[in-house]
This record gives sequence, C-alpha cells and structure tokens, in this order.
Amino acid sequence: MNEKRENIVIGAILLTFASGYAYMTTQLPTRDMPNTVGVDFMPWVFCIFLASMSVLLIVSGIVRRPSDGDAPRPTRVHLTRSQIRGAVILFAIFVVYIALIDVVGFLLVTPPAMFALMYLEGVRRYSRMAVIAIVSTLVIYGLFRYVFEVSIPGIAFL
Amino acid sequence: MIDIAITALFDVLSPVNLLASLGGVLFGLFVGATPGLTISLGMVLLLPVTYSMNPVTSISLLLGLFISGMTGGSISAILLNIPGTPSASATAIAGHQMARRGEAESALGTAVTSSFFGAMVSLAVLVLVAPTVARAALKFGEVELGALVFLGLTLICSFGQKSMVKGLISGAVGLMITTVGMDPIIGRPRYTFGLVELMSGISFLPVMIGLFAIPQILNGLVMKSNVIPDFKGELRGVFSHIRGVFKHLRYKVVSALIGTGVGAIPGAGGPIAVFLAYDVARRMTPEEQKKEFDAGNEVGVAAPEAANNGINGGALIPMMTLGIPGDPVTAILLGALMIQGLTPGPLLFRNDPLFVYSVFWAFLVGAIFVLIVTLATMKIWVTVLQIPSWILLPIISIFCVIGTYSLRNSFWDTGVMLAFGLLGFLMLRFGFPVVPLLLAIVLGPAFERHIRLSLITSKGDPTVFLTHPISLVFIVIALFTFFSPIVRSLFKKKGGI
Repeated sequence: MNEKRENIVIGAILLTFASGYAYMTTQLPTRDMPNTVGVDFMPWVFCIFLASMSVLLIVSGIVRRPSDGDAPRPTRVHLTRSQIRGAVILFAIFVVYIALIDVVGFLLVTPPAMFALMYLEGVRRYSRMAVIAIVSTLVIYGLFRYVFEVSIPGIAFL
Repeated sequence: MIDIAITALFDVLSPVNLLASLGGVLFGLFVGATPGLTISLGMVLLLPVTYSMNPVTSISLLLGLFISGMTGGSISAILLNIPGTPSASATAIAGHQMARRGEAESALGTAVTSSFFGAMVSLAVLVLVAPTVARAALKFGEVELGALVFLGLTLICSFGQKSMVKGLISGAVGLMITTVGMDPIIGRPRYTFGLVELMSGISFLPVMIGLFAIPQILNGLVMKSNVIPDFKGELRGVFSHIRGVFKHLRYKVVSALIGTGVGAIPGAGGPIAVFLAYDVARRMTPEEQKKEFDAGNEVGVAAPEAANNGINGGALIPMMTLGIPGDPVTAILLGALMIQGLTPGPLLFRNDPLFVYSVFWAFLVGAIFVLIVTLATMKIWVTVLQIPSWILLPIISIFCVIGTYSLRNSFWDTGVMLAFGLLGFLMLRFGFPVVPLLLAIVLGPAFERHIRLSLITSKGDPTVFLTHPISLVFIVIALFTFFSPIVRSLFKKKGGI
C-alpha cells in the first residue's frame, strides 16, 4: 500500500476511534455547575481536534497529486515481510513471557525467553546463549529482589 | 538563601548521592556510547530504580545520566562515525575525519572537555535565568498557565516533525489518553470500563518504556539496524587532554550559548543546536583556516560538543521554571520528579528551594564526574562499543518487563507497557512521531486542570484567554507556530518564498 492510501486508511481508523471516544464521552455526566464546564469538556475538545486532524489526513491522501506518490516517503519506515513476521514473533514472546512469569516464576521463565530473543536475532551459538541467559537472569533477579527490594515471584510454586 | 544553597551542596555531596551521580554518569556513558541505545531509553530503564530513592538521590542519578549520555554519544560518533545520540551527529563530521587520520585521542579529548565547558556555561545560565523566570511565572494565574501549556504542546507537536498533521494527531491521542481515570477537578471516573487499575489513570512509566524501549528492541532484534563496525585504532592517554578545557574559548562560548538558547526552546531539538553551532564556528573561522576546518579539526569537534552539552542546562530552564519539558529526556525527567511527588514549575522555586539548589549542585557534580570519568576510562568505552546487540537487547527487554512490574508489583503495568510498545511500533511504521504523544501524556493533566479552572472562574467565558495580556501573547505565539509552516508551504508551492 502506498503512503497516500495508507493515510486514507489510517485517517478512517482514527475517525472511527474518535467516534467511539465521542460515544463514550456522551455517557459522561454533563456540567455540574451552571455557567461552567464539566468533566466532559476537555474530552470533547480533544475528540473534535482528533477528528479534524483525521479528516485532514484523509483529505491530504485524496487530494495529493499523482506525482507526489512517486516521491520518496520520508515519514514512514518500510518493513519487509520477514521483519513484520519477526515483530509479531517478538510481541508473541513478550506476551507469553509476561503471562508465564506470574504462573511459573521469573527464574524459570526468563532464561527461555532470553534464549528465544537471541534466537530471533539470528544467533545460533546455543551453549553461549544458554550461559548468558541464565547468568543475566540471576543477576537481574538479584539486583531487583535484593538491592531494589522488588518482590518478583522467583519460582512461583515454591 | 546562601544557607539553603550550602545545605543543598552538603546534601548532594553525601556519599549516597555522589554514588548515585557516579552511577548515572557510568550508565549514561554506556547508553550514550552504544549506538542503538538512547538517553531516553537509559532514563526509562533507571526510573524504576528511583522509586525507593529520595528526590535528591534520584535527580543526582538521572542528571548524571543526562549529562554523560550527551558526552557518550560523541565517542561512537568520533570512532565509528555512528552518532550515539542525534545531537552527536555534527561531532561525527570533524571528529571521525580526525580519527581516520590517527588523531582519535585529540578528537575525543576535545569532545569531552568541550562538553564539560558547554555544560558549565549552560549551568551558569540556568542558575542565573531560572529563578527570574520562575519569579515572573509565579505571577501567572490559571489562565496564563493554561495558555502556557497550550503553547508548549503546540511547539512540541509542530516543531521538527516531518508531518505536522501526524505530529498533531499523535499529540491529540496523547491528550485523550490522559483523560482516562479520575478527572483532575472533581474526581469523577472517566473511560475506566469499571477497571480499578484504570481509576488512577495510565502511569507515565509503562508508557515511556513502551514507547521508547520496545521499538528500539524491535529495531535491533528484528530489523537488525545496528550493525556496528569495529574500531581498529588504538587509544593511549586521553586524560592529558583535561588541560584543554579552555582551548578554542571563543568558539566554545558561542556554541555553548547557542546550545543553551536552543535547548531552552521546547521542541527545538538538539540536532538543530549542534548543526547551528557547527555552522557558526565555520563562519567564525578565519578564511585561511577554513580548509583545515572542513578537513576536520579540533574546532569542528569543540563547537558542536559545547552546544551539545549546552542543551542540557537550557532544556532544564522551561522544565524547572514552567513545568514544560522541551524534549523527550526532560519529559522523562519531569515524570521522574512527579513520581517523587514534586511538581516542577514556578511553585517549586517558592516551596522547595532546597531541592532546586540540589538540582543545580547535582548538575555541577555530574558534569565534573563526566569530565574526569570519561577521560580516565575512555579505553573501556571503546570496548563497550563492541558488545553485541544479541546480548544487550534481550537483557534490556527483561529490564523493561521487571521495571514496569516494580511500579506497583503488578503485571497490569507490564501489559500497558507492551500495548504502548505496539503502539510505538505502529507509529514508527506509519510515520507518526512518538514524542508529541509522550509530551501530551506528561502535560495533559496540567493542561486540563488549568483550562477548566480558568473557565470555572470566568463562568465559562472562553474569551478570558484573550483578555489576559500574557495569555494572549502565548496564544498568538502558539497560533503563529501552528500556522507558519502551513503558510510557508503555500508560498513555496506558489513559488513566492
């Protein structure tokens, strides 16, 4: 998708978001005192502003001259299909990791997570990866648990 | 006042605070020198550590990082031609040419001493100007403060963005995020969906870590954009360059003042200051020495570096006196102080002068540490440049998760961090700047409070912002900032300007 079409789609998504936000704003209590503004005043201001900017983004996408579409697109970052796949895997690792810390414990779930992240970067020196993952986990745990006194669940079932 | 300043000095010189400052300096040099890591990332990684600290220890740590990060950025700029921070980009021009000629030691020595000089000039300006600005700002009422925050938001959203509309959208979304939770005037819950976790709103820290760290981890791990070349040269004694603090004095003074001035303008950004200083230094160079300057000499390193660290003190002026952060780093610093229960702004100077003086002293101590430590440990930072990202980035990832967890010992904030990481990634992908979003989140609550209180006291009359002269000035500047790029582009299209 070129940037022109992308701006139209993003503008439409933002406009939908602004509409949803506007609907929720209508549910807020209106002004409490006469001749003044209530809890819904600023949300309305922000919502109308976002909606206006979204319309502007759509319009800029529609009225852009065809020659502009050929120009270099400085504002966005181009990602290859494999990079997008990598990003999805990275977020998946994070989600699984965060979900499991509470259940399994930091000490058991962190080394595999670190190992997976190293693997994702393309490193294949398994023994070195394992040592670094375990040592880093122990150091970070010790630092937060004993120096900063954060009660991280070490091993959840112990 | 002198007794407060002395008390603050002794507080900053306590072993714990000195240790914090030194720790911040070392960590700052690490993040500054390592391409791919930024000062903002360093700050957000250290924020969880500051919860249990007292405000002076916390600010000593963060200011140490702030100052040294700027200096550290020049190490990789000179040795590898990869600026560790955007503000070190101009240093790379002359510095790397010197390094390639075998003058790396001289370039690094000049960079470090010039950074120190720039920091000192900006500190002097901060100490002289800040109390006056704060005194003037104390006369501001809700109307003026509302208009001031509006101006700050407009400057930040409009300046330095490749697309102003996208910058403004980013800012608008940030402001909308700040409406989640209890409203700041009467405490009614808004957009909480019945979730207790959302009652106190969305915390800064997970948002900051998500927006800054996750896209950077992604950048390194998935896009593999930080392939770092090896430094082949050899470094001997850089410490002897400490004598060069006052070398090329006139260039350094001018550049440091440029840095301080530009740094004080919210949203103007470091790269503008350093390139401006580089250009001015070139103009100041006598005609017969211009060839030498273009080939890369000490003046070409000294000027941008003095400006680079001049930005530090300059950026603290609006943050400390008006509560308006000028860039992401000062926004994080502002967030850190708010976590400590302090609200930077004119009232801070009246209510807590001891802390204000502590900030000044901590800045001075941090700058001295940076000068000595950087020169003495230069060889170590050259080694740090070689740490592979496959070791560094997974460790940073774990720090992010545990850092956000430690906020309230809850994985709710970790989830928020991840959600904002995804948002940051999507914004990066589709060309939306994250800085306006972050600054809007920091300034949003104050903006709403001032605007609503102004309207409540004026019985809902919006013209109150135009009838107060100071407020009118702020609004005129804001509108000028907002409309001038549009008018300029229209003229350009017509071939006028």
